[in-house]
Amino acid sequence: MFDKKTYREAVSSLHASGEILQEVKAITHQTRKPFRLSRAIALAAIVTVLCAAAAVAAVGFIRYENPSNLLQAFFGENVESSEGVVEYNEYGKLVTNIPAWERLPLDESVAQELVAPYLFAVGEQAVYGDYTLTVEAGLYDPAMGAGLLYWKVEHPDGVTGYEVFPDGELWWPEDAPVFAMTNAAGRTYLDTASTTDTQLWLCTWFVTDFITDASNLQVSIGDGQDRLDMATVAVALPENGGPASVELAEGAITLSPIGIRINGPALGLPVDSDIDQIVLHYADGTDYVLEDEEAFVSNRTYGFLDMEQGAFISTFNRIVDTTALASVTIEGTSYPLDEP
Amino acid sequence: MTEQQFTPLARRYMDTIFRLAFHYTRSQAEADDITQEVLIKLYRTDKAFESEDHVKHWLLRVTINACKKALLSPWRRTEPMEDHTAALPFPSPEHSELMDAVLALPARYRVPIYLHYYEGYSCDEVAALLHIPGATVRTRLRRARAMLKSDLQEAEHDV
Repeated sequence: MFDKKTYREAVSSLHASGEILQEVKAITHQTRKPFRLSRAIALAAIVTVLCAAAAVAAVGFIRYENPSNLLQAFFGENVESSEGVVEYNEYGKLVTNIPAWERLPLDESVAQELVAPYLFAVGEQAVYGDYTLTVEAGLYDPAMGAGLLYWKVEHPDGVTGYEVFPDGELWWPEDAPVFAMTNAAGRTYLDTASTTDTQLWLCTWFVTDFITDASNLQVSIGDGQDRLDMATVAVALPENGGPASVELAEGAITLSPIGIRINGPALGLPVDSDIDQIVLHYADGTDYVLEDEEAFVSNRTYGFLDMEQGAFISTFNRIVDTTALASVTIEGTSYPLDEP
Repeated sequence: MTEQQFTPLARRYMDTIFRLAFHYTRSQAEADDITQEVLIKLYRTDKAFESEDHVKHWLLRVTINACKKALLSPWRRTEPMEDHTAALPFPSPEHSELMDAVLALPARYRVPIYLHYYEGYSCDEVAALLHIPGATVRTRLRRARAMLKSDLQEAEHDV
């Protein structure tokens, strides 16, 4: 039986750690280090704006030119394909459980047609000590509520302390000397081809959620131990535009070249559990297996589940030509794309 | 917010934030992290609160959002939940067993359980906090009680 009195007594015995308040006070009393935007960068930004005035008028943002590195990192063979990684620690506990993934060569023509026109230049910097953070470019898909950011962290003596999973995902361990992050729900990967000892190039997939809406996206850099004293770049996302998307199942599924958004309850799916199977079927008979838990395959770069509304967003590790798709299978049910 | 305003509020609601975060994450360490994050947001907010209820409601909403972000990496950790409750100082084994049963419920059940039975919010107030219909809250509470009844009876038979 559910004994309410026992439950209340049990919960009452739960307490936050005693040091939290002191830590909060210590953090909030620290003085933020000033950041400088170098004159050279400021001038370059002005020149970029003047040259791209026509582009601004046409699509509402400054187009990011020469995106080949970005496109390769996000959608090409940034890392090798893998059969998956399952690792246990010395106590027999599962510590890594990464399903198989496949990275394909980038189709440049598809990338230039479907994604490149929507990449916007940012060119903003923040400085923290000897570290410089530069947000280079981004893409936002308002229909999906998702996008990507391309950015870098630089230090003249080298950027160290980060770790990279086999699938390219980057994270900062507790003892890292520096910490960089976005305030959006998302996942960050290393651009393996562009990164050097002194320049860390990063690819972040993000979704706009309750805390971070399209008007409040930030990228920050700061002390690895403190993680709250940070210098920040604010990124203005375009209010409209974005890659062309298609809707299936009376709007319950939205597909774009960079991701898929699914309204779980509209498809009769549970509102708070992950979707275990999503396969995109092309008209030529080939498939893009985005998720197949039974087969231990995952080719998504980020998955976001709003447990209350049942909205599920998944971003792709390749560009999908939605005009070449025939149908999508979700949890065993096939949803055809409407014929033109 | 001034320190004079912040400190009493932080002391008053720290455990509230922690307990809600614990019901979401089922991890004391993550719940502590979220508590710290939310308190920092409280300190830095320039929001004008109309009442204590307004503050608490705001804190709970911010905590809910922070917890949802914390739950977005399904592949990396597989630590058993029992490892976390085993280290907690419950008054008796009966209390520990009941908390294990509640924490074993899916999040969509255990969070309304906490907000309704511990914080004392009505179903409609829980619905407003979680941005779901009131009828959904009532259904989830009913199902949660049924699942707990079944789980706890099974546990009795196992002893």
